[in-house]
Amino acid sequence: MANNVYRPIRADLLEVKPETPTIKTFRIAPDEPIAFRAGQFVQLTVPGVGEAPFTPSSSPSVQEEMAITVLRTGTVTDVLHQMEDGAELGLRGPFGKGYPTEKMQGHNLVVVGGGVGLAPLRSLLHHVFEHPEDYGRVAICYGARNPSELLYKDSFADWVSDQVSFDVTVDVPDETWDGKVGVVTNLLEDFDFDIEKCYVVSCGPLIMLRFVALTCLNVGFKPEQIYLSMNRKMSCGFGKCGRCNIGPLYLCKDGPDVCYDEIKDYKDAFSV
Amino acid sequence: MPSLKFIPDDRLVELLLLVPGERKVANVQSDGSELWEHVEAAQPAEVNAGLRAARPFYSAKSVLMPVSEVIARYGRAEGDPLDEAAQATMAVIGVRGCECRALAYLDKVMLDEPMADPFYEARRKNATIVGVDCALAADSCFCNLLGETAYPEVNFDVNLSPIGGGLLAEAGSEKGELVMAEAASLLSDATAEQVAERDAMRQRTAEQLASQNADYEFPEDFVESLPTTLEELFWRVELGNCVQCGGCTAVCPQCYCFLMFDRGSGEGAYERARAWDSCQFTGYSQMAGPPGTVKPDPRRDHMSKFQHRFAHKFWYNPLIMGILGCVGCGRCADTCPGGIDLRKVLSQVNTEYARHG
Ligand SMILES: Cc1cc2nc3c(=O)[nH]c(=O)nc-3n(C[C@H](O)[C@H](O)[C@H](O)COP(=O)(O)OP(=O)(O)OC[C@H]3O[C@@H](n4cnc5c(N)ncnc54)[C@H](O)[C@@H]3O)c2cc1C
Ligand code: SF4
Ligand code: SF4
Ligand code: FES
Repeated sequence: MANNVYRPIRADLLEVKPETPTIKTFRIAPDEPIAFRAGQFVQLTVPGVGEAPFTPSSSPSVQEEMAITVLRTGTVTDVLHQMEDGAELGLRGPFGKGYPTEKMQGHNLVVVGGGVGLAPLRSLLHHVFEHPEDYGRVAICYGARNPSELLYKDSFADWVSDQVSFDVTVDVPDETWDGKVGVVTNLLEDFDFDIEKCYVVSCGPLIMLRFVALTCLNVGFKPEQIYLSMNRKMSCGFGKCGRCNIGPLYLCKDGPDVCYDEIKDYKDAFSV
Repeated sequence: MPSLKFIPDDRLVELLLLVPGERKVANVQSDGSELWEHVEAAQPAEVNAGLRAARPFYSAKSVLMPVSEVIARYGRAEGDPLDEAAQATMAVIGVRGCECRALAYLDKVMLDEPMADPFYEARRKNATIVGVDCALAADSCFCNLLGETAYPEVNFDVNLSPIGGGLLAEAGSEKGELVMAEAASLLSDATAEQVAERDAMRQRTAEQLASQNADYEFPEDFVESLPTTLEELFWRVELGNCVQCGGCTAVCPQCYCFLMFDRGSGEGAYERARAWDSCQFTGYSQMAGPPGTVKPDPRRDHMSKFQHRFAHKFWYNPLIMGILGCVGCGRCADTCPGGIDLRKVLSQVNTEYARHG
């Protein structure tokens, strides 16, 4: 029988963990293991409802199961958020290139997340934490609209080490918040390490990505050093259905993480 | 030219019935209108007339990539639609030169990395392509302006050239050689006069094209010129005529976009289907988000959708695969309710580029 890439692999929903009022993490075990690189994404099927693309937030070294952290925002994610342990899902993938981790070896990393955008970055962080000798210093900069929308709060302290720093800010504080206030790009202004041998990796809302790129350029990074996780509506996941392009790049197969240098000249990259 | 054979008009259908394929579809002319029809179901004269007419409105794409189809079943649903597609064979008859070139483009998209579209791959592999020379060009055809010929040069198994009293047949692949061998009793070697007649027919079509397109001039390098003109006024004038119907992308032999969707097909059973989509539609790249909020849709305004069709075909695609995303068939102009003609748009690109460059 021919191999039909459009057919989802059956998967069990093992556990649902609420993260914020609008975000939950789903632990999922596919019937056949799916080996993914950090930054590669999967198409998650909610049976009968449809598919949506998500980048696993768990470690790429675990293939038997994966965690996907999902913001509730529309048809598929609404139904997904109502599902409970033991439900049946489907998965296709992995798709995309993933983060250029080989290229990043021996470099410092600035990891910039906004809102649910920290989820895909967490798989990269897992990878880096599992291979600390391959990377230099790592600065994690995280921002959310308000304190209740921060993901993975329990893990922040565990991430910090001699090698890894963690900085967080919110746009709008509440009475529980005594940390930094302001947009995440404020965290990008000074680093106590060499930014010449460094890559910036960012995931978050489109408007944030644009300002991350501009701020980094201001601070002295070159366009080739900046990698952005660009989101587009996706359907097929492997370059056939046509909809996910920025200029000549198809994000599902050439991305979703692309170098700022490759997209900066195309009007449709940041057009809102 | 030993490989050129003559098939008389009254034996044509017999030849076509020898072409492998459970389904044999040809673009036929019936009562003054054209349609893709099973050869067995059509009158021989209608089949013959179809091969002598100008290129059909619906290209071979609509046969190789159906408007909509089920592409997977899951849950308790049984059977895989791919198994059916992998077994079905067909002959596609009357494929014009532009469509054969369009297949080269579709092959690149659909068969290339990171993996092939399994449905396209199966259909393409199981299809025998019978090409045909254009003895007549449509008024909107402009393949000549893109440096192309009005007869198939690539991607055909057998090609037919209409001449007086019959057609010349030529094999373009091993599959085609086999058809010709099997049909040997129907065929005779082409005479020098018949070959000369074919060359004259090709020359006439080339002259028709040169004459009907004499007023248009395209830029030499689209990748360089097109991006520099995007702010010019002529785009706004053209845009004013577009009603976003998506007709242009539907009839284009090279437009391939589709959208997938799932639905229930029984208790615990589901199927996944796909249907043609268009970059001209609002939903094409609409992003998620709560109702009422501003979503970061790319190409939100009409102009950027409109220009995207041109940008993809004449700017991005040369960068991606070194060929244009257009073969100059003119179908988009024929279908457009706003009368938007690519020849005019691209000539304006040329004029403006020359003015500023
Ligand atoms: C590579 C990639 C990785 C992603 N990773 C995550 C993640 O880890 N966590 C997370 O919460 N979200 C992620 N997203 C965004 C997520 O895919 C969308 O929020 C989701 O598709 C919304 O689906 P919906 O049916 O609930 O929304 P609706 O608005 O009802 O969506 C309708 C249709 O549009 C498509 N669509 C709409 N918006 C998007 C979008 N932004 N990206 C892709 N397709 C879209 C959907 O697939 C669906 O077919 C990712 C998007 C991409 C492209
Ligand atoms: S056929 Fe014409 S009116 Fe319709 S979307 Fe295309 S350009 Fe616009
Ligand atoms: S863009 Fe128009 S002229 Fe060009 S191949 Fe498509 S339908 Fe034909
Ligand atoms: S998602 Fe289909 S081409 Fe990228």
